[in-house]
Amino acid sequence: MAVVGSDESRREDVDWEAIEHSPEFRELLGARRRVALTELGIVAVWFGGFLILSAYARGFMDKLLWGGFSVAYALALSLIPMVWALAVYYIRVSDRELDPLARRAAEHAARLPASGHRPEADGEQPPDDHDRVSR
Amino acid sequence: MSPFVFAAGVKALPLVVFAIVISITLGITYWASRRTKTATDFWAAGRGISSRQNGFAIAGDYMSAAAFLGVAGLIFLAGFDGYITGVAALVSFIPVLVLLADRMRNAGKYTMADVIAFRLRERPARTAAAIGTLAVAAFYLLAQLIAAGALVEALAGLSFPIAVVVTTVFMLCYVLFGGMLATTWVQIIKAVLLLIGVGTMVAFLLVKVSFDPGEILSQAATKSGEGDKFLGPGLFFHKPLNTISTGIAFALGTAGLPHILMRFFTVRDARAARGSVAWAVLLIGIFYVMVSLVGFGSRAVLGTSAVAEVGKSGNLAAPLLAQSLGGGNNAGGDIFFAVISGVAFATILAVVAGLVIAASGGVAHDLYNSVIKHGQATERQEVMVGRIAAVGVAGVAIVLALLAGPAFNIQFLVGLAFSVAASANFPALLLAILWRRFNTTGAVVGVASGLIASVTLIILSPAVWPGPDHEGGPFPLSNPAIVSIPLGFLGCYVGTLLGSPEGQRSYDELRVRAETGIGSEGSGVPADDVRVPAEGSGVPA
Repeated sequence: MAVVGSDESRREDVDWEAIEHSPEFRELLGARRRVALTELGIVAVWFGGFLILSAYARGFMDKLLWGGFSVAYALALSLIPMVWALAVYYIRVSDRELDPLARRAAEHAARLPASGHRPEADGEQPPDDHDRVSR
Repeated sequence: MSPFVFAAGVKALPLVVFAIVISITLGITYWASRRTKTATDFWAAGRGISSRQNGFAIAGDYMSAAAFLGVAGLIFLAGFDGYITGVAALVSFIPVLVLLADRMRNAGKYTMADVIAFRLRERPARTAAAIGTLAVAAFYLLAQLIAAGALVEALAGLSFPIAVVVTTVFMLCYVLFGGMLATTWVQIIKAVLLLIGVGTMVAFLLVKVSFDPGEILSQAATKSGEGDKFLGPGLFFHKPLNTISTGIAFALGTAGLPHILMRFFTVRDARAARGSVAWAVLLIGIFYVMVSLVGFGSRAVLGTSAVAEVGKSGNLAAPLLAQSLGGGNNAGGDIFFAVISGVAFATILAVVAGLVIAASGGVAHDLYNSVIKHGQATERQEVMVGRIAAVGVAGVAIVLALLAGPAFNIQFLVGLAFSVAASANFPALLLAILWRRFNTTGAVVGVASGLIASVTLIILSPAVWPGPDHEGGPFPLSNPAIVSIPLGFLGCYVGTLLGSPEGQRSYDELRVRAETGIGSEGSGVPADDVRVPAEGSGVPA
């Protein structure tokens, strides 16, 4: 996976490529992709459905459900708690699942030079390296 | 508005409220100016904004005059269709949250371009991103300024040119002296005032109908002359595809609005960036429910006879409703009218300030420092150029607004801003973060095609071609997003295939930084720039 320009990343004190390929980081990406795609899917179906009905089923959207509340207005209102629930759920998953995974990936990074897995480790580790990684 | 009108039509009471608003915001600016020293202070408020404060500020950016007066007015005129952009704008925060918010905070410094250009060749990629930033900021700023001039003219009786200049001068004070800190706090206070103001209107309305909101809707339908059709879609967007295209533009546009994305750099860390989205959607959700009631309520209370009074785009529906709810043509009505006008004025000032800060970052941080000075400019130079850029942007905006005049169709400018944001900025930003193969040529071609497609299609649309509101342009839709967003992504893809994958830093680095926050810009003390720009990386293709 040699990206051209990796000269630059080598100049940094962190071995980005190794972290990117670490199992912890892969797990983080997978978990994040799952929750993001789920939420975007729900938005696409719910909001997309609302738009399509607003465009092509206007007779249906005009119908009154109770009092002055039309189908259109009720559907539009339903999008608001949907957005709230999705935001809260995403933040919970981030706090409980994604952030711990990210921390483990960062710890993996901190371990790398010491355990000698780092391909380019020439022993030129500035002392502040660990500070930055664990921040 | 009998007791408080001067001979020349200048209304004293709204001006008093405007003066109160201005003195509060200038007080904030003075306080903020003493804490604004570094570039991080100027563009990112020292990264010391809490997630709740940032949530209020983001909500404030969203609750612009277009979202308050515009949405209420459109509902007054055309019923439910007016509500669709409001709901779409709220939905847009889910893509922002799950795709961008925390990654922006982790990988960026002051601007959207920081993230787009991170692993690409600095000069061409940053130039493209800065052009995207400036285009959106310019169209949006121009729309807001024209709206400001027309509104202040209608609300307080000042002439359009004076209103535009006064608005711009006060907004510039916040930006020049108080930077992002003042802009953020002005935005927060305005958000609170606006929620209280709109909430009071809704409370008055609900008392009128004995707390049965359905009654507001029924009466609005009766008074509209359209019957139940008024409560469903189709009266404003006649063509079905217009509904869909506008909805998509607003649902994805947020993810490319530079002044909103910039707010994620003002908080401590990625977690606070996510939290601020939760606060923002809570407030915006409540706000839009209330605005819909104000919109339908204005029709129910004012009836059809007010159609001539509210103006072509209905912008005066909400203030006129306040007048009526306060008691009509007496002191109570005049006071409520003046307070709501003052809140609307505060809204305009705050949103315009945010746009100018974003544009100054695009000029000073992206174009001046990164492109012209190869990242070697000192922080003082960067901030100084930022202030000069703010004055320059404001000056250009004043001239354009005065040339356009109060009758200019701003609806198409707002549509254009959202369309460019969704078609030029969003694809490049998303692919820069998520697509390993994405390269500099892809970013340049993508931004160019999204921008050109949006501008061209808007010019060919019925709103502009051959004259305003003519139903027969070469391009049939009033908002081009449904075509221009795919063209933006296609440009990114084709450009990537044509270009070569040389960049200054690796995709691995961007990815790891964005997801984990390793090496992200610290809060408080401005850390030494961890991300040293590569020398000799700036040869354009």
